[in-house]
Amino acid sequence: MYLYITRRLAVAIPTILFIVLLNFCLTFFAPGDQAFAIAGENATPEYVEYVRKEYKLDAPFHEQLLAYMTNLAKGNLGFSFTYRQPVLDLILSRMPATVLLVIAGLLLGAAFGIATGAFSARFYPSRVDVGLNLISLVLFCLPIFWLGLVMVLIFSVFLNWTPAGGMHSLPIPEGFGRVLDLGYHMILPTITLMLHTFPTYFKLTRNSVIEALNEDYVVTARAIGLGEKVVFFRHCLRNALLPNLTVIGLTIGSVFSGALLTETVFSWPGVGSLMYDAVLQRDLPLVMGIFTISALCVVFFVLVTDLLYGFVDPRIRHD
Amino acid sequence: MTSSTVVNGLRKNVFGNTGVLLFAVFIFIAIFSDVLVPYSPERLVGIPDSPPSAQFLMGTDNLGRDVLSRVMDGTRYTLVLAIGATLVSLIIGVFVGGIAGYSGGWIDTVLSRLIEIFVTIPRLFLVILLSAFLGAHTWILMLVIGGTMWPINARLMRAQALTLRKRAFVNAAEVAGVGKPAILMRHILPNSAGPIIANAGLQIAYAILLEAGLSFLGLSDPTQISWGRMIQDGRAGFPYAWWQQLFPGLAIVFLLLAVHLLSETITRMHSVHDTQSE
Repeated sequence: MYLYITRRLAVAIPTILFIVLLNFCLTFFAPGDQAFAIAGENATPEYVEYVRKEYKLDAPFHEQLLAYMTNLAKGNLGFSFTYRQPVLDLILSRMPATVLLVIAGLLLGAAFGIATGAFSARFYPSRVDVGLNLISLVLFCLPIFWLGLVMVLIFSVFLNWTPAGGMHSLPIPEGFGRVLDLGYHMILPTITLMLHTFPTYFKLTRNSVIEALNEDYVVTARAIGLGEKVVFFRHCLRNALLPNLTVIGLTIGSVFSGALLTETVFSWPGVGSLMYDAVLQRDLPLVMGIFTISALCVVFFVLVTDLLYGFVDPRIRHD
Repeated sequence: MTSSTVVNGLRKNVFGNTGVLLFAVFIFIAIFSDVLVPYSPERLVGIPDSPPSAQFLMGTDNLGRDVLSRVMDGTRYTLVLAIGATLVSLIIGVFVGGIAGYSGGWIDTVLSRLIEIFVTIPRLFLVILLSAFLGAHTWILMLVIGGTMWPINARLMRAQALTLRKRAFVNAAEVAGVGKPAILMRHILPNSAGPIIANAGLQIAYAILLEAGLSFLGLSDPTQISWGRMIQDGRAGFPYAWWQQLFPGLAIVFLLLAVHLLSETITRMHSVHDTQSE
């Protein structure tokens, strides 16, 4: 197990280094003054001078890189002049909203996709299976931001069931009412993100269950005379579910990306809408900071799911 | 058994044909949009925010430009960008994967790590970062989008190269004294094309989605009409002027459906061909 953990870490660390190096190279090779690329276009002259000194911009490449990494290790991601706040504080204050949305969308999408996929495979081959496949394909083809807008149009504008955006009603209710209010505001963005995550899990589960239905152990279980229900749930489904765990790790990045666009549509006060504002304002330090922190988050989540996978399936860690 | 053949036959014919037809329509529009558009896409031809009517089938935008003409004009940009990005991704992926699989050893280890790194980093964030820094011009977007999609091609190519390098004809070439780069170019690459080409359709679809997301965030070539950008611009009139967002969005959905159905058909024909030849 220790060897397995070490190996997974050996994958995560180069990724983190790569992210840092990429950021640094972008500022180093950016056209124009390097100090402005780090400080942002609307920084004050004093801050630009400070950056020039702090990041040793007159020194050769390797010294600059070292200074950059030291600053990063100290948690200094620069200063956002559009928000008049340090980038790191700004991102950290927005991160909980994003993580909440990502986890809700990912878990619901995975659960829903796995259940429907297993259901579809049970009815393979039939019109039910074809129909569900078609639905999954259409969902796969919907740009998530457009899906969000259509959802707002239907459920908030025409039916007036849910709020069109934001995270809280104003004034923010006290106590338990606050949680209910949050849940109420979460419904549409979560469903949007769920529908975005659904097809991957649907397709994977469906295909692996259909494959498992032809395995020898399923044939044997049937030959023994076990009921179809027992064969399907205990023998087939259990084995077919394992690949889904690795996919959770692989889809986290795409769910984060989906959350970015969803947040923009629903004015969800997370990192995604911050990224949108940053791009709009051309606040490059903020864009870079969001990229770094989000990528680090994804690396961390992937590492955690990898470790979990090794824990659940012993074959993986002895591989 | 019969129901399965019926269902499969139905799927193959109806869905496959729909895909081919839809894609052909999009290609036709992309090529001839200059002639086909009812109005000039950049001209102010009607009252701003007028709903769909006989005169403006998809309504007008907030400046009074014809939405239908703009959607049609955007087809070419979307397709050119997506196909270009896919080509970039193919070239990078084939070389990285081919070199990794054929060389083996430490080169393979390093390149495989690089592939894993690119798989882990959230793509949309990376693409936003790069295009925000480098500027959102068509060429840069092509390189940036293609430059983040290649890992899947590299993986497919690496797997192919790993099996091919043990085959007799590769060994024969090695014994005959052909250099490694030549073997890679002349023997490994041409024989690995199958799965990579089969996957190219999905790559095009992915590039279309990425571009749509990027331009929705405002990162698109300002000289081009992009569907994602249209949807973002239409938000000024949301929810009143729903047609400004509905139709560009539908264009994306139908183009993606066409690409998916088409690539599924091609993959199926490919696998039928394979089983027959064996």
